[in-house]
Amino acid sequence: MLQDRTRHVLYLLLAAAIALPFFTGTVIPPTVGPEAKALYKAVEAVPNNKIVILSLEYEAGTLGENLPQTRALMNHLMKSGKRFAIMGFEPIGPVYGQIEADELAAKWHRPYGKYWVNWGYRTAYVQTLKAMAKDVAAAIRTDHRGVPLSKLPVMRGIHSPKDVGLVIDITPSTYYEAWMAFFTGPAKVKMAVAPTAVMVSDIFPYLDSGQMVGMLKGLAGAAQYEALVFGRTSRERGITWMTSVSMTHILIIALIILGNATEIITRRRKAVGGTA
Amino acid sequence: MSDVWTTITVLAGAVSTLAIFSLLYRENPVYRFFEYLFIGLAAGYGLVLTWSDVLYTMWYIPVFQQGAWWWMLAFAAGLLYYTIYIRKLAWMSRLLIGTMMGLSAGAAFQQVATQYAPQIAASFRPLLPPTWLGVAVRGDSPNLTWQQLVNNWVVLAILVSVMAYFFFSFEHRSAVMRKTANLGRWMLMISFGAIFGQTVMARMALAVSRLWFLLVDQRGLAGPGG
Repeated sequence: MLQDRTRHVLYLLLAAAIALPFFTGTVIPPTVGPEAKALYKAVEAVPNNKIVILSLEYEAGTLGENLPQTRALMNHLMKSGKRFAIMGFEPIGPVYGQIEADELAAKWHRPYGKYWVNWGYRTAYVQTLKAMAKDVAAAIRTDHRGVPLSKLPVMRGIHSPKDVGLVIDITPSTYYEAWMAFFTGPAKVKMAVAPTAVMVSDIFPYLDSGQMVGMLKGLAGAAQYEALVFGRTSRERGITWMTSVSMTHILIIALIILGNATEIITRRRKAVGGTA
Repeated sequence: MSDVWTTITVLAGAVSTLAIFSLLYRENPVYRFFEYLFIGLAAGYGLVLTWSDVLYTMWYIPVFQQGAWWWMLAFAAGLLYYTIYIRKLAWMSRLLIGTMMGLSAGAAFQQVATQYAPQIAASFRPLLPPTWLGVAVRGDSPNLTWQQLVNNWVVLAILVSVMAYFFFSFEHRSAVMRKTANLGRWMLMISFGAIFGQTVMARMALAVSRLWFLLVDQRGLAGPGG
């Protein structure tokens, strides 16, 4: 019973540590890593006659990381006026992307169809990517509402993979491997990935080999990217959320020290009691 | 009407979040109900989007509005999957399954080549400095810094030791092989530790996103919808 209460108190402390930065407005400025910097430069380098593809493969379970990554990248794309398309091989990813893009489009004045487009959810990822590697517009054909891509100004001049400046896979799974194998690799298109934190170790070899030009490492990566777009002390979503995560880390470290100290003191007392 | 609908959806989201969090107190029927609800919703969402984003735009419109009747053949081929439920016709489903497996196997070969070949090439790194005591050693890598050089040696040591750990073609009898494999095991453990740490961070990020929805988000309880 006492252990149960302790557990509940710990959960409450954790909730308080998370919520504190929400209300105080305090942020811990992130230190920007080379992977986020490289991705930022790659986005900046995309010429205006090319399109960026954001492949959103996540569902509700990884929103805490993938959504701030999406937001940070969309903010940069819209701020710099780059054209981009969202799509996904998981059903819900493009839906979340649409919600975020709608909100940011109003902020940056980047209307749908002119600066960005939603290609929607696509099945059969291998076949779709192989078809895209031959002709992007012919493989996709319509947006997520069935409007022919030829009617959307954002798709003007976008046909072959050469017209794609960069592919960014925002993902908690290994779809980035399929993108590399069937689209960016054969068509020689630049690629980056925004994975969940747990996947980061798997992706470093692709950065070393040059198959990827950059990476956003989970929520921390989103915060770093926002630091590049808005400044290190801005109160954007990723930076605020990462501050909360940092607070939980501080709490966990403090609790580990406290737990160990209590255990040591208890043992010493028992030892002293035993000898007396 | 839309405001009412927004309020209902936001409240449903909040109630669902709190119901899932109730597991932190203890296992309970409310948590179970919302867990199954979540799984059902995800499946239902997938089905609807498969129709609206894929079948409607890429099959229904071409066939029924643009006269591309030949796409009906894809529909007929797809139906072959369901012959698996009819014993006499089940062989027809295997035609399709076999074809799809053959296609997948071919794609897998291509994937191995395009995905891993560049990594094999990238694992061959310069291990000697450009110059040593003023004498040119490696003219092909003049810009190699000493940090990169150390990094390359670390990569080589880990690559060889981990490969040694997974090398089962002969028994690890010699001391050199045993120690190299042991080093490989340590390197793997350090790597798994880093992954575990990242996992904890990921779970915290998820908790942050839900509390944000409950306490701050203008599209959540704190906004006009709540």
